[in-house]
Amino acid sequence: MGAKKKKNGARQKSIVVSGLRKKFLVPHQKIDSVRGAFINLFSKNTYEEFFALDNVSFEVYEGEFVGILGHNGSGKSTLLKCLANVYTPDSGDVKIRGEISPFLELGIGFNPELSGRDNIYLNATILGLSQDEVTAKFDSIVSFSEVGEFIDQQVKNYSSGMKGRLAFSVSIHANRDILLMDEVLAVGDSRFQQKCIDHFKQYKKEKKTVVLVTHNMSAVREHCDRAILLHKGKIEMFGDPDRVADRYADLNMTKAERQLKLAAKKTELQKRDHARKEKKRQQMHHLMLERERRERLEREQIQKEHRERLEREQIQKELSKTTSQRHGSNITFLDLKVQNDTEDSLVVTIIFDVKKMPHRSMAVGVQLYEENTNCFIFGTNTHIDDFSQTWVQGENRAIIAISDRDFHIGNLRVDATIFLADSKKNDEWEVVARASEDIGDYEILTLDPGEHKGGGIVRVNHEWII
Amino acid sequence: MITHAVSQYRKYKNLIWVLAITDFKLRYQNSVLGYVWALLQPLLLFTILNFVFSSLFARDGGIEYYSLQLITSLMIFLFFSEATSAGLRSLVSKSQLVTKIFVPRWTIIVASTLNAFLIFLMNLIVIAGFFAWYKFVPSLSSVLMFIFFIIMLYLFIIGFSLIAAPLFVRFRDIAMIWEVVTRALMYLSPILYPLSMLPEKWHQIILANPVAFIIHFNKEALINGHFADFWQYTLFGITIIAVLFFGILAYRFQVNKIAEYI
Repeated sequence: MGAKKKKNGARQKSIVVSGLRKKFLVPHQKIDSVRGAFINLFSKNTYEEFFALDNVSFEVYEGEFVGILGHNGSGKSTLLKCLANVYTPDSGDVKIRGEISPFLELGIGFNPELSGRDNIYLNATILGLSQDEVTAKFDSIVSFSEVGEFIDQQVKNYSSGMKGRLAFSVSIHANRDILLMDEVLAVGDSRFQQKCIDHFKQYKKEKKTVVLVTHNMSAVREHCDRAILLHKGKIEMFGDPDRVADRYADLNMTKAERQLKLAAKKTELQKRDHARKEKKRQQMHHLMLERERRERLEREQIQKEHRERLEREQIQKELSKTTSQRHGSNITFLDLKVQNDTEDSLVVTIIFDVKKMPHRSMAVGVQLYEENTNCFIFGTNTHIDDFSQTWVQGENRAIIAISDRDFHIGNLRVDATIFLADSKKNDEWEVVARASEDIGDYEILTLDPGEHKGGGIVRVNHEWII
Repeated sequence: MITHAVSQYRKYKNLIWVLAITDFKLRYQNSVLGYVWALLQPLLLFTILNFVFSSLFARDGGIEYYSLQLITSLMIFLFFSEATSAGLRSLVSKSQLVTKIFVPRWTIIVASTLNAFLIFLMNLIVIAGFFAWYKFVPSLSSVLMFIFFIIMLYLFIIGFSLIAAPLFVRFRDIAMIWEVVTRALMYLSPILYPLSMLPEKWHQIILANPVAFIIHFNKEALINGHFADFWQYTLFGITIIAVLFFGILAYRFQVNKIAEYI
């Protein structure tokens, strides 16, 4: 930007506007007849002052392409008309260096009853071309407009596109040093628009100064060297077209819309956060429901088992009184170690002491719980997994490696249990010893809800090592 | 001031003529038939007036002279009424040229009156035809007088238009008022009747109106070879110049606000 400014310093100024002010009187009651004026002689006419332009100052350098953006009523057309000398400013100064080609509208003076040819001469003369100049440029005007053989037809028979192209063609051939344009890019199809844009680029090369009033922000971004943003008759911003266009888009929103946008941004962030939490919560909720279902089933099962056991015990009591001695708590846990230092697996080591080998088969099991909700996640034992291990009197050791870290659980608790049963085929296992170890935050990352004999809501890959 | 006016005219001559000729072409639709058609209106008017009033007023010089006087006077007056009407409406009817581009506003006003002048030139052919039909050859001095009168009338029209056109932008009922005034001027000018029919004491009042002055003395010069005296011409000339001068001042006073009011 700094370098550009330096370059500008050496360039000639084409347009210098300083302290430009244009005031309109808006009467409360418009008088447009002598009769009205006569009647109004006796009553005071009130009006409001309205500053269409209020202290506007800027400079445009030679060869610059300047866009003027602004809302309807921001004063951009008034500014253009002041530059074009259509309006006389109330105060301030407009200095124009070079000849100006003011086309605030295309096809000024076009008469539908006249032929295209006559209209070219008429329009070009109004734009300031001499008769000889028009004659010299006539062919070029016709070919650019693509009107072709219709040139001697009355313009009223033209399509609106043809009319627009013809008008635009004459305008660009007026070829002055400074061009003022008001919303002319809206003419014709996209191909013709491209031609116009190419022509603008040509102007730039020829060091012509162009001032373009438009609503088309992309045109400003693409073609303008600098842009002016007018707001309520004042220059809101003057400079880099991208920044001006952004500011204009911003201004385009009403206050309410702006607040909405801000709020939307906030809620968007909140939403994202919320969604993350919600997902977690739903996972948990799902687990809880599952657990409840299973617990209910388990309860029913336990009640059933309890009933059956009571019945059986009744029978057994009658059969033998010595069996009760077999329940002796001669098994104690020595240690329960949980290691999760390996990347993807949890290694649980269970060490226990058997004082006296029971007569029944023995199995070692592991259960994983979520500590806070007491959700039973996964359970297994050596019997279910058909892991045959001969247990001995004295110290025993069982190691299980649990892999699959796919599932976020929160606080994990590992329970180890020793079961006893009468026979290996018998389903009635009895817990004779239990130990627990909290291991804190841990993730098992699988979501395989496969049915599993050991229970729990997911199936987790695991392997008994000893 | 005159040199300034001339340089301004030179600068915008091309524009004025193109505007005027465009209007002229539009009026006649680029065809001879269009021209004949456009002539029908004044000719019909002439026929009716001639038929009704010739028996009343054709006293001095007989019926031929009355018809010649009537057609000449009528054409002059139609020129005046059309030119002032066009001049009055010029800025409003060409509002695009006022609000969308800068061209000096007086060029629009002048072009409109120039168009009426071109129509009048076409109508001169008809007048010439009438003179030929009645085999009447006017004197050279009376033809020169006629040309002088037309130039003066045109300056008067421009003066009026420069005042009225910007005013019409603001007050749109001026057109209606002017129509009534034109109608009144038609009967207050000695077109249908010879001035001599009126009481002597009214002559000065009637002749104070430049249009009436032109019509009366043109008629007198063409048919009777009678001219006004020096003081009458001087007074007439001063009136025309005053109107033109006042027109320029009024135009300058109003010109800056035209685009806003239109």
